[in-house]
Amino acid sequence: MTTSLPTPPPSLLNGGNLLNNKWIDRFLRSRWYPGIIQWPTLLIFMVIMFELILGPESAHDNFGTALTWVLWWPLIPIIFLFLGRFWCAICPFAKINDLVQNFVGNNRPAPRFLKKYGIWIIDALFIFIIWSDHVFGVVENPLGSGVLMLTLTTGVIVSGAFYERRTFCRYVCFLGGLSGNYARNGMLSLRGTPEICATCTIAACYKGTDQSMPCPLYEFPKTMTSSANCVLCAECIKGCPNNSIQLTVRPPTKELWFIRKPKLEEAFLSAVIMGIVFVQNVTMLEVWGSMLKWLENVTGTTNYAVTFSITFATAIFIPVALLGLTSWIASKFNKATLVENFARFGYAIIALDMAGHIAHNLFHLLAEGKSILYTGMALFGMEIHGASPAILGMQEIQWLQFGLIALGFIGSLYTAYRISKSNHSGEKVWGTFAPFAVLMVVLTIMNVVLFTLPMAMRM
Amino acid sequence: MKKTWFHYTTLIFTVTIFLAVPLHGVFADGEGEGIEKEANGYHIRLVFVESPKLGENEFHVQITDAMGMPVTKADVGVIAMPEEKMSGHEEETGSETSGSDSMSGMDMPTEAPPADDMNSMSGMDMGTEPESNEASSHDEPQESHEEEPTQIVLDAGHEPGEYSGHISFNRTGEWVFNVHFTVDGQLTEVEFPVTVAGLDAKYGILAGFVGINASVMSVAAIMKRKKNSIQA
Repeated sequence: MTTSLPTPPPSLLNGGNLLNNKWIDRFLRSRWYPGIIQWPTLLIFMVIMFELILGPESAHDNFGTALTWVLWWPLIPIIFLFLGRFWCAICPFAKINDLVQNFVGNNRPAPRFLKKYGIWIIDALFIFIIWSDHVFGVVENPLGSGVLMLTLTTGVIVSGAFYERRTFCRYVCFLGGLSGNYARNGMLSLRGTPEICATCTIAACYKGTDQSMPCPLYEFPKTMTSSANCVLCAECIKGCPNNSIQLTVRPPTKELWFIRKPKLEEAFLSAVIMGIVFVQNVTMLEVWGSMLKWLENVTGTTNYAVTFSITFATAIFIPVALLGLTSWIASKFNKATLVENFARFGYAIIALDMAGHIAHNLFHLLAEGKSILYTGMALFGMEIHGASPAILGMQEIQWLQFGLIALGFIGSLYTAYRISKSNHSGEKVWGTFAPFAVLMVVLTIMNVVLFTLPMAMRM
Repeated sequence: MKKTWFHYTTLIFTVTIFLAVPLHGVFADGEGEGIEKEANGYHIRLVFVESPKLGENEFHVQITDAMGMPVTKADVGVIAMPEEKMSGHEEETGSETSGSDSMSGMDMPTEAPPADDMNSMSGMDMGTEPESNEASSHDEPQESHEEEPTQIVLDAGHEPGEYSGHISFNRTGEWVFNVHFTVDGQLTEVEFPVTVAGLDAKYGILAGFVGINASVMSVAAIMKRKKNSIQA
């Protein structure tokens, strides 16, 4: 006689439901979450705004610049990797949106054109903001950063005043597009339990209840297959009467292996992000001056807007064109169209995007990190002159950068393989994978070369 | 009812803080944005401790050599004069005023095409410059006493390669800062455009955004009230 032992539930780090942990469950269900983190974030945001607009005009001395571009911006992709779009749940702009909505909100449905072209709008805004940063000065100019923040504030106020939920965050926020892509790569996943959701007819997670808000980003956990638009606000956890929601840890990139309906605009964004990582690196290299000089000679103009625009367009064009070329080559093997391959395999670049983004900003965080302390102390009259802002030496930072690029390469390579495997069979798997593997090698080499060159500081 | 009261309290609290923080800034100091130029292989940065404004202003000049090392033993001076005065002076001497940067502008040091500056600076480093400098400093006032060039000798600052000085601006608008220094007997001269603000542009920007957002919220509030009254 044999007795069957009950299967133990998976561990929390191996696909187990994190909500089975009473502390995590209690915290997320608490009425204080996410407000307990959101309010302090809003207060810090106000300090940043004050500093950016009315504080020291030199980025080197501005506490707002240090907090925004040396601390927050480098940390944000790391947060996306480990916690998905958790940042969006505590983002001060989201809080402003909600506050305005509570008082004067007209709660109209999101405009149709935003729903239809939302990601393209985000793509365009993202490109425009990065371009503006270089041409008008945003990162290195506190007032420029302040104006950007004020513009975003105006955007969320308009959204909160006229439209329902967080229309701005879902369809307009440039960071939302980036974070959406990165969150797919992330390690946290929130989903409904299919068996429980199958019998549900009330959709409290989507519509909200007396105790909870409707999903701010218009997601429906019952059918949700992506973490791109889940901000982990926990409203669905609070609202679900059937305890259907599961929060699980998954390996990075896992979601990218099985994208059911790949979208061209999302794949395009991932290639664009790679181009932006290139341009951000190139313009901070010490050789940028000589490159600019060469470009001025070639174009016959010293207008920076012109020379930078050419550089920017080239940097974005390179990964998009390489992805297009690879998709065309792969189409010879798998008989899919170029567009289908582009849309499917564009997601594979995300891991390398993220690694490049983190690696680039790691330089700012670790080589200039102490500037946060120095500029903060200066607010209280404690001036520090001549001290190094570096937390780590250049060599250590460079090794970390190479390590990250290596991880990104492995992630992208494996993702390309899994995408190929989930869409094709037999010889087509390897025939499709091979050109994309070469693409990942090329993009990785380009990143490594950029990180070997000396970089200028932000502060 | 309790929930509504809570919402109103939080909104009033947020708006009060949001508006109070910038108002506090009226009395706060701000440090000036630097302009960087290159001449004779030296990298020169002019930084105002606060945005240039009418009255007393403190500024620093930071000088580094081609290797990026601070230049510590230079005799540094500044001749400041309103731009229109300088233009007339240039016509007489044929010296060049380089760059279009403005202290109140959005231009960043990294954005200014270095080649442009280099070319302009090389023009200024010609042997005629010391003469023009001298001419500036001894120029007779042409229109009024207020426009007389101001000559300042800078003292060594806190950091190596940094030199500090004070200037009292008596009029708003565009000024030209002629920074000259001598290292090992060689004179180098660079001109920086400086905008002396009358009404601080920052408050204009802030007021603009506050106005737009207040209008948006007012329109939304009116629309909401109308909608509610129709529904009622």
